Amino acid sequence: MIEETSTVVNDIDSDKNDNKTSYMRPNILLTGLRRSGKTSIQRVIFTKMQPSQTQFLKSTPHLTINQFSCGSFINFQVQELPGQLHVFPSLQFPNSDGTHNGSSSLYDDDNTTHLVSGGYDMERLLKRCNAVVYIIDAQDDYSQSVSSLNMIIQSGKRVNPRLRYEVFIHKVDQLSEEAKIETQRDIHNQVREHFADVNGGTDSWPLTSFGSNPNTQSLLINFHLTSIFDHSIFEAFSKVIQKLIPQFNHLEDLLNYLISASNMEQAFLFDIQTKISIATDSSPTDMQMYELCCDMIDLLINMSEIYGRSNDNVVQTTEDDGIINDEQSYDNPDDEDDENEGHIVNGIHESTNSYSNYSFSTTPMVTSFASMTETITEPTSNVFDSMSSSVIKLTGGRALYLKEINRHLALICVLREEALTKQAIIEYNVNQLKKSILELFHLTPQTSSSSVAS
Amino acid sequence: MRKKVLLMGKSGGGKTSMRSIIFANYSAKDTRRLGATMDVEQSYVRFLGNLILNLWDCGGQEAFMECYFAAQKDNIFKNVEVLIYVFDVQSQELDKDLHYYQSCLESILQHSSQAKIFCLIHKMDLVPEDMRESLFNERQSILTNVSKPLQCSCFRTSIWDETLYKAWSQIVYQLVPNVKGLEKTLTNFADIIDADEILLFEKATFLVISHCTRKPHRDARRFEKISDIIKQFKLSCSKLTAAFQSMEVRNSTFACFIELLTPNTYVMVVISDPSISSEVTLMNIRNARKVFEKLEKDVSRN
Ligand SMILES: Nc1nc2c(ncn2[C@@H]2O[C@H](COP(=O)(O)OP(=O)(O)OP(=O)(O)O)[C@@H](O)[C@H]2O)c(=O)[nH]1
Ligand SMILES: Nc1nc2c(ncn2[C@@H]2O[C@H](COP(=O)(O)OP(=O)(O)O)[C@@H](O)[C@H]2O)c(=O)[nH]1
Ligand SMILES: [Mg+2]
Ligand SMILES: [Mg+2]
Repeated sequence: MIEETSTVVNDIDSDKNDNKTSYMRPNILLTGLRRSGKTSIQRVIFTKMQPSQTQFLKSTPHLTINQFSCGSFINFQVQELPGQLHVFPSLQFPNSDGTHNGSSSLYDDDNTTHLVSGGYDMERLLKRCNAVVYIIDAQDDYSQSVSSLNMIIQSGKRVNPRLRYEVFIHKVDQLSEEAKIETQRDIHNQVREHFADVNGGTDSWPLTSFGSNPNTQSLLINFHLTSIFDHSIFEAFSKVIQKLIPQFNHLEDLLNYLISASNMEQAFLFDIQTKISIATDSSPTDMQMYELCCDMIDLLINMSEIYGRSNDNVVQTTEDDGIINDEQSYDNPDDEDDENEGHIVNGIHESTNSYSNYSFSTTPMVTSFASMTETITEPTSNVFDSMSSSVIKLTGGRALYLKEINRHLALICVLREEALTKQAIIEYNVNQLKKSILELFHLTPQTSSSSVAS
Repeated sequence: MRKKVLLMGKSGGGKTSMRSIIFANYSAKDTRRLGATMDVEQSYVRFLGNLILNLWDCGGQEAFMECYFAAQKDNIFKNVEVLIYVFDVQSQELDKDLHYYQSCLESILQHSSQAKIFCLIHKMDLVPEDMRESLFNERQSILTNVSKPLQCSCFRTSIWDETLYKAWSQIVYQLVPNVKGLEKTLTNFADIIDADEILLFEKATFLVISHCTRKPHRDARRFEKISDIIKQFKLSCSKLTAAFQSMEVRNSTFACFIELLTPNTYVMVVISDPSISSEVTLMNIRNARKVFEKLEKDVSRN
């Protein structure tokens, strides 16, 4: 398993000079012109800010680095780079071959040195990251934004040819369906034209998987239509995260196996706090089902907040302890450096709606270099526990089945009601799946979870 | 059985918004599309099967209001069962609002003196949280005063949170026939299956129409929260052209079931004894159906 992890990840991370531990924390460089919606997106996904509240956000003047963890074993880092065209000194003076950064820690010099010099070394950032998420404000004139994207891609091709670009055509909530498609096609074309020559033709466009052609210079780019006012932003971000999870293919296989063995239609693995789906089976998922699954998580948590919060809650399973221990071994050693540098580490917490103060044990850690002053609210109780589960039946014979995998992850299956009558089989299969997932992430509890009721 | 409900108040106050959310499956966001109501918009909503609510949504623009108290007076104010008067909390003309409210009461006193009166201090979400309590208390005492000799019940409401469901659940409670019988049967049922709590919802609105609590609960606002939670979920189901049918949610400390009980009601059963399996509870609910169906039939016959 360990080998698996490191080979796949080395694959993603082309920078061999990188600190070995960097793969534990995939880097996502989130950028786009100012007011394109970068901060809003992070707030809505990771801190449950109400979309309407984002209008009060101030613009982000500095490179901001946020650490997030998802599902207890996926740690990743989002770097928000305020996008002004003139901040790429290295584009004007192409000099960098990447040798000047033999430093020990990823996180210190990126920010200290380059902030002081008044600009950001784009190439350095691109070299360090595993994916670029580029936000384009679709309500605005986006030509400048697209040329800025092209510059980034240009620069990325040089320093990190295998880098993946995820373009969020954002704020599409105000656009008609037609306008959405038209905008996407237009942006797509503008990027393609720019790189057509370099790419040696358009036939390899778009390339969506790493495996398909590892040695060509082809561009890995995807376009997503997003808005913070519906679930599209969660879905798009899920796709980005899924590609950064080394174990994704295994998870997908496991879910495929589960649905065929248990006669299900679909299966999703969700991080319950962010509602990022970290894996799905390989059948095509429709957006509406994804949304309903997100709402089912809300329903479960809200109802549990009301009735499932006894104070004498002693059901702290040994399983959880196992996970906590393992989590520590997964911790990035760089965390220490972070603290030594005196960064402000704080968790932002806002409740999703008036009555559920989402209480989970993973707080997004926000490490910022500017004077961000967010308040810390440590989550206290945890109503999502080892016995959490839910069954919802819909008319037309469909049903949804939710089951806890660990305290951050939930499995949601879509199935026919008939299949649900064999609940013992389903529960057995789900427990097997649960074991495999925990093993896959080396989270196997010391006291085995094999004694599950079926 | 038909019952007339009057909805009145200043234009833009939120009358049409509220009734659309409660009775027509609008989401709060959808109400932004609503235009001003012209004159009176009548609608009939089937509630608990044989009870039909006849809602009179009276457009609040002044020209219309003047008319209601003049030419249309008899027509509007006779046979009123419930009057719901909506006050926009942000209104800058409280005196004028009160003036219309009093004209309304005079007409009620004249034509339907038995009517129940509800005052909703609405759009509370626009008031900073720490000021809501005192502002509401102040308005409430003013309204109680000017309503004399009639009695009014005041609620703070907003379409953006669960307070909406609290107010409306109290309003419809007035209209449910045989509430006492319902409560008694529910208590029996709860005792038999050893439930912590049982709620009864009207099927279409998911408003709580009866409940039985056997274990004290810290959250007094939970009923309206649950209406809100389930209603939201029902809305998302409808996007998939499927409808919500039933639900079971549990963790290590509780199990909660929502099932259809009669053709007009859903029941929610909360159990904290982990030794009771889902199958047993579901069977108990199935068995209770006959009893409640009979109760409903008996009522409609009377
Ligand atoms: N902030 C806030 N806005 C609300 C609330 N309720 C309604 N609104 C908004 O108020 C506006 C007017 O609402 P309506 O329901 O059309 O008002 P009305 O009382 O029917 O007005 P008339 O038909 O002219 O008498 C809509 O845009 C609603 O979205 C609330 O609780 N809070
Ligand atoms: N209509 C709409 N507005 C959005 C969306 N996302 C962000 N915004 C608005 O865009 C503005 C700028 O957002 P901000 O996150 O500060 O942009 P940043 O400079 O890229 O970090 C804010 O007023 C947001 O409310 C969206 O999906 N739709
Ligand atoms: Mg920003
Ligand atoms: Mg109206």
